Formats: sequence, structure tokens, C-alpha cells
Amino acid sequence: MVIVIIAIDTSTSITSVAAIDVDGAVVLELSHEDPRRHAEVIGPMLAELVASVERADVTAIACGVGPGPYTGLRVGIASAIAMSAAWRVPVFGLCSLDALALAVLDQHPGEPVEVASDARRKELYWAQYDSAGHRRAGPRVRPADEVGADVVRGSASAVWVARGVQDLLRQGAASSGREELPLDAHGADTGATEAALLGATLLPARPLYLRRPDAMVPVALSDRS
Amino acid sequence: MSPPIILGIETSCDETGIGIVRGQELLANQIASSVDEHARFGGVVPEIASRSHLEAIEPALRRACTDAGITLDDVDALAVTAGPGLIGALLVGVATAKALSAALGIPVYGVNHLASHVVVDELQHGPLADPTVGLLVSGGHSSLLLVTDDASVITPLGQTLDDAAGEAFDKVARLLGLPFPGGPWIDRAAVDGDASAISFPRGLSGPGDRERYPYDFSFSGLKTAVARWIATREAAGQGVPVADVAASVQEAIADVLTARTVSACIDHGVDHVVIGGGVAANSRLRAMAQARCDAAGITLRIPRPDLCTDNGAMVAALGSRLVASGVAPSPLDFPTTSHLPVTQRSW
Ligand SMILES: [Zn+2]
Repeated sequence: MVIVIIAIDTSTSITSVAAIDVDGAVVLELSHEDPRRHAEVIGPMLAELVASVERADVTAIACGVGPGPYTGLRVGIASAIAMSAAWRVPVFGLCSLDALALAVLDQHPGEPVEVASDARRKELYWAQYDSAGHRRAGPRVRPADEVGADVVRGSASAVWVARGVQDLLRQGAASSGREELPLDAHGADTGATEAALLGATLLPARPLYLRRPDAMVPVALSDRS
Repeated sequence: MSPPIILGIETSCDETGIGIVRGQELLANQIASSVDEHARFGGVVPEIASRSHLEAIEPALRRACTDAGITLDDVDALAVTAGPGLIGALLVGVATAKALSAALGIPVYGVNHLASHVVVDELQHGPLADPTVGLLVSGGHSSLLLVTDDASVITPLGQTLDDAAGEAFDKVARLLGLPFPGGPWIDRAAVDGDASAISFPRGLSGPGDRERYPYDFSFSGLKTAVARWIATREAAGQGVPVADVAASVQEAIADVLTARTVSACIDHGVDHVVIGGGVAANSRLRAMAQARCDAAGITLRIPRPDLCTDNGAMVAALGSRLVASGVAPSPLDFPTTSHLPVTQRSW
């Protein structure tokens, strides 16, 4: 019998699902990029994933709990919770930024790492790691220009960012004339990486919102259908 | 062989509902509401609702299975509200349903919330008569529907042009200093009031409206009239008789809803009415609808309150009907939409 872990992440514009065995070998990995269709594309992706594993082999479900845009983020977490209920196996969460950092360390071992992803409103979800991949600070929401300024001052290492965030960070560092802060860490968005992170801190399968809900005008009073 | 077991998931607004039926037999109806968290905002805050659904859905799923005496492996098909509703809220239920479908290897139906509100009565009162006029009244909708062809065809006859009936209750409650959601509070306050104390306007009853908007509603004028009435009272240094205002407002809303429902029946030669949605719990609406239907020789059906407000059983009921009539399940990539016409029962 093989031990398989299923991983799901929807913390960025990419919906990704993967099955990985206990040795870290990827059984199947699927991803689809579309910031507004997580809940549509995840159905066929999960069906394909399920078809690629033996139910009896699956011992746990892992999900990225962000931080990330909430609406999409909840799709992956809800899916993971449901699969865990259906198959009666445990579900746990992983900080999605941990996955990003691990991917960076994979390519550039031995250096401390800072990672960031898009928090909208010109802000970033940010975290800092030592060279062994242990999270030392964050995850936090920080203004993009503040993160950029840290790099300019030399008080931070280069910040490695999830796809789509480069421009945001560039604005913060533009005045320095310093060469571009990296980078596209697309690979880090995949659930397979997260599953490989089993040595990392396990969290409950609950979103890392990091912000309080906006108490906007209630819908019952503004919207009608 | 016993009929298939259908599990229904509802997360379109502020109730997390899981219902389980066997055929048209109700086995479980678990509801977790986040309404208290919205009360201080005077209405449903979408992000708060979405967060609550994610917290509540797995415990509700577990409790529903316990109530029904089944495990998830016993479920034959899933149904989930795909719209209309709050997108962020709907997505929690839809993602859950798709993952359950994939994991359990069973079909899923992405269904219409409005159609569910009509069909749910079958769990309590048996198959709907054909044809039936449906009155759907809640915080989000106020519609008159013609339900035909063994409940497979739902034709909209009319709807509110502005506020939903439940929304009108919420707004008036706020003017009266009553909590959200307003409907139950107005109902309670009205008990001690005189319904004929104040004559509030009936929307769309002016000259020509009967022809142009025979089955539509308008409640925004009512709120304005109440606000003006209260302001005048206060300017004159008089107190506001909350019970009388509540009773009179309730009278105006029930009057319009029931009058249009009965005319729709008469115009279309229909002698059965079903009322659904949270506002169907209003005592005055129920009493007036009963009296007017009796007078017109119409059979009235209203599900009990826990089947009127948003719940998972209604979604399961519609799913069960779709399965029974051989409708194909939804593709696993079916969309979730804030607006879904009532004519479309499922994807
Ligand atoms: Zn409803």
C-alpha cells in the first residue's frame, strides 16, 4: 500500500490540485489559471485527481489556507474539508506563503527568503524565512511600497513574489533605480509543493484572513434580485 | 428498492443548510444561521456570511447525516444552490458539493434557489398540483410564478420592481427601532396593534397599474410613506405607536401580495397556490392568504416555517425531483451566478 496525500490550493489566481506519495513523488498535478473561476474548474480537476488515486491509499488532505483573496481561497479550503469528510481522513492547512518560500529555497538554497503575494489595494501578503525554510516573520499584510523600501534600504533580502505581483512591488522600489526585484514563482502556487511541505507547520483548515471583514452596505438594502 | 437519497446544500445568503431526503421523504434539515452576526449592520454583510458558511458547513453536514442515520457513502446524488444569491456565499456550498461529488463518485445538480423554494412544499404536502401559482416572498425576492407540467416548467408572472417584501419589513423595522431581520419583529409588534389605524399605500394600485403591472409588486413607496408618517408624528411632538404602525404596514404588504396572487389564479384558471420564502412565516400574510383563497375556492399550501426560510431540504427536494424525472446531472464545471432566472431549474 502506498500513502498518498491530496493537496489543494486556491490562494492565488491559480487553482491547483495534486496527489503526492509519501516519498514526495507527484502522482498527478493539475493547475488552471483564472482569478474568477476557481469553483468552476476545480470540479473536473478533482474528479480527474480522484480517478488517479486509490481511495484507500489517501491518508490526508492538505490545503493552502492563504493568505490570499478570500473568495477564491475559500473554494479550495471548502473542497478540502468536503473531501476529508467524504473519505474520513484528516484535513490540515498550510500557509500558502510557506509553499512559495519552499519553492524559492529549492532553486536558491542557503539564503534567507522573503516572499509576497497579492493582497489587493496596493498591499502584499508577506512573510520572511530563514535559509532552512522556517518562517521567522509574518504572514502579514503590508503596503507594497513599504516592502519595496525595505529592499532598497538593504534591510531585507530580495522579495520573491507570486505571479502578478511584480508590478506592485516595482512601484515601491522604482525611486531607487535598483534592479528588478524578482520574480515569477509560479511553481510555488501548486498544491504539490504544499503537500511536500509536510514538515512545515500544520494549521487548521481555516483561512488566514489577516483582515477583518469589510462591513459594507448590507446587501438586503442595496441589492435586489 | 427504496427511492434515492439526495443531499442538498444551501449557502446563498446567511443560512448554511444541509438537507437530506429519500425520494420526497425528509430525513434531515440542519440549518446554521449567521443572522445574529449581521444584525448590528442592519442587513446581511456578504463577507461575514461567506466566512460563516465555511465554518459551519462541515459540522452541519455531520449533524445532518447523524439525523438521517446515514453516512455520506449512502448518498446517491447531491444538489446545491448555484444561484441566485451572494457569490462568495454560494461558492462555499458549490465547492463543497463538487468535492463531495468527486470524492463519492456521485452526480451533482447545481440548482435554482427560487425553484427550490416552490418545490420544498412537496416534502410536507405531497406532489404540487398542476398547475399551481407560486408566491415567493423573502428578503431577496418577491415573485409570482406559474408552475406547470408537473412542476418542471416555472414561468414568472411578475415580481417586485424595487424592494423585496422581506426588505420592506427590514426597512420599516429599522424606522421603528426594531432589530434586523425585521419581519419577525414586525409580526410580534403588530399583535397589539390596530391594522386599520393608518392607511399606508399599496404599491402599483394607481390608475393604469392594474393593466401594466398585473402581477408585479412595489414596496419602496411604503417605506417612504412610513418614514414620512413617523416624521410628521415626531414633528408634532407625538410619540410613535409602534404596534399600530407595524400592524398597518403588515396589513399593506399582506394585502398586495395576496390580492395579486388571487388575481393571478383567477386570470389563469388556477385553483392551487403555494407560498414559499421567509416572509411566508408572517402570520398576517398566512391568515389573509387563507381567507382570500378560501373565498375564491383556491387550495392554499404553505410549508411550515423551517421549510420556508432558506434551508438545505428545499435544495434536496428539488434535486430529488430532477433525479426522479430523469434530468441529467450538471457538468462538474457548472457556474455559480448571482442572478439565475427562475425558468432554469438546474445547470
Ligand atoms: Zn431564499
